[in-house]
Amino acid sequence: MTINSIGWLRSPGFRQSYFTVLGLIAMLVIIFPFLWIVLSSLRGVDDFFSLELSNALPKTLDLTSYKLAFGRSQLVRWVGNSLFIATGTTLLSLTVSAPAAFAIARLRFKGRRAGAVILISSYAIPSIMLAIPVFVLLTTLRLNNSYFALILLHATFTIPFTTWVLQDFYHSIPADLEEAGYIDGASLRQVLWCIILPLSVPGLLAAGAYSFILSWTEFLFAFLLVQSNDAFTAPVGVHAFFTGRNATESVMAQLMAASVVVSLPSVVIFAYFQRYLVSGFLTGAVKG
Amino acid sequence: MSTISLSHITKSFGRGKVIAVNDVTLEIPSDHFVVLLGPSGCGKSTTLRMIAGLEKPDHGEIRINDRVVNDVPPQRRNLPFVFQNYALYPHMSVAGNIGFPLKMQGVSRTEIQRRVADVGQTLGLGELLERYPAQLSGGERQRVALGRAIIRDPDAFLLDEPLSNLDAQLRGDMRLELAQLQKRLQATFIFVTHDQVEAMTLADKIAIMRNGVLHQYAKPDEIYHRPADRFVAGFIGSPMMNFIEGNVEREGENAVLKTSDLSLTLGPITDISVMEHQKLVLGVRPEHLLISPDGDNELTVEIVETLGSQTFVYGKLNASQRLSMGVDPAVRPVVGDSFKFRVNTKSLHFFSPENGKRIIESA
Repeated sequence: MTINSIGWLRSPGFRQSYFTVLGLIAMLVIIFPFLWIVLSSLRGVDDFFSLELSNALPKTLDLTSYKLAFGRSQLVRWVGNSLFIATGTTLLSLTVSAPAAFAIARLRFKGRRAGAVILISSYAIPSIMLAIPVFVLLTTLRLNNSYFALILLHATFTIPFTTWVLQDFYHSIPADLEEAGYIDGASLRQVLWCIILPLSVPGLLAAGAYSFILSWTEFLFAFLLVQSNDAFTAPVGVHAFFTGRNATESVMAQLMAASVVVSLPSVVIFAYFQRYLVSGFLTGAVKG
Repeated sequence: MSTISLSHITKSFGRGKVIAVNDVTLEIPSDHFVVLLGPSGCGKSTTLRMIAGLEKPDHGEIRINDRVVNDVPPQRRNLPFVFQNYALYPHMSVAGNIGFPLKMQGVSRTEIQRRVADVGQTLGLGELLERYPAQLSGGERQRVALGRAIIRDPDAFLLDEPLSNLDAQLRGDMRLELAQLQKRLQATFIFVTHDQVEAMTLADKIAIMRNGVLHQYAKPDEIYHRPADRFVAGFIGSPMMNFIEGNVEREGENAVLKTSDLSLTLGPITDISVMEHQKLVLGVRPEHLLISPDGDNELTVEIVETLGSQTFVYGKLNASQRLSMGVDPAVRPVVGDSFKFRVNTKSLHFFSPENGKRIIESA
């Protein structure tokens, strides 16, 4: 085989096709579980456990599973609980991390760098290690079954990351703008509020979307701290469908329907904010 | 009106490793246009930032109207600062940018609108008030930055290379506008630039700096005709001043600069009050070398630079010594020509070979 005969391997057309196919395969692998959940939720109760390939795609759009899931559980309330907690977590995270990130990025004080490193290092601690101490602490404070406790807890997980993302984002804003603010008579608070934050909307959206999704999907601590059925978050509620001894077609189909309902908000948020997420995270990635 | 004075100001960065400004003392009188001039890294911008309050001096005192302001934050100095890249707030309209300082002062909305309209009118921005910085040209952005400074009605303005991002044509126009603006406002302007043309045309006084040290602070005319040292002499003027190191000797009625391989006739010894045999550096500007058929010196042309109103030739006196010389464009010199020339003895400069300081006046 001559070099010329394999030259097409290096052609832009081949390389583009090659990477497109690879990308499609990767996307299929990632999306398959979610796709399977959606299809299963629409397949109807009777065909749920069928392994026939012909039954993979629903023959008709059967919404029985959804009717059962909404009718026999407090799914709407659980989604509402999660919405409240995730929104609270997002607001708390941004309220704390926006000024904290500004301090790390722009102010000069002792321990600034060490503080920033400790902040991001907290991510190295596995959540499960914290589970028992947090459970004991919050139960002692009678904060179990409390939305406030979950918002506080979720925010402690999101704040380090959102602070990191935002402080990197602030670095991309020219220091001249901040100095121009001081020259024009603005205080530190006014510079942050009137100049830095309006210019950081993409970073704030990225950090906010991250906080919301993390809080929305958090299971471990919500499962440990919330015992009352009324106070379940959406992921804990979905888990409650399946007790391990009731794996009937009907229950599994409801579980799939509930999973779709619970996944939708985070999918929608991610789809809407993904350009901000990418730009927000990349700002930190490419800064020197 | 504001008098600003700097007394023995020193500023270093990197825990003292880099001395940006070294013992600078400067008195800026009220209503003067003062230019801080020097090459990149000379400390001129750091000096301006210290006056603005954006940097704090390590040593020395900054006074505004006899009040020490070292610890006064920029918010309370009332010294607007025009940044090199304008630093306009991209999320605010032109009106929002110009009115921002008043908003921070708590001025009422209607008063802000009135004054923004006034400033817009003054600077020819009336039609652009609703636009955003991204929709403006470089010159328009420059005007908005000036508008943001003017609206506060301050006594002094600080400008950090505000023309350097504009093209040559616009830079010339804006230079003129700035000069007119300063006259109209009757305010103190402190202007940083590395461009000697800007400095010479705009300034009432120029402060020339290098490596954090103030070399000379004087009127443009004095800087040009009586440079304090060899650095100032070389930095001001284009092409730069010619320097030749040697001894001045008497040859008959003439003074001659002797080097190991050159003898340059300067002119009548009576025109030059210089000690014979003294080792020194002669400085002579290209325009002070005059083509003269009866001149005692000869230059062989190597490069011709035609600028229209002026022509400069670069050539050699001998194998090692080169000079630049201004000639009448009508002469139309070509490479390889040789000219007899003489030296204008009224415009010679002498500097110490040791420290570069000006050592003696041409008579």
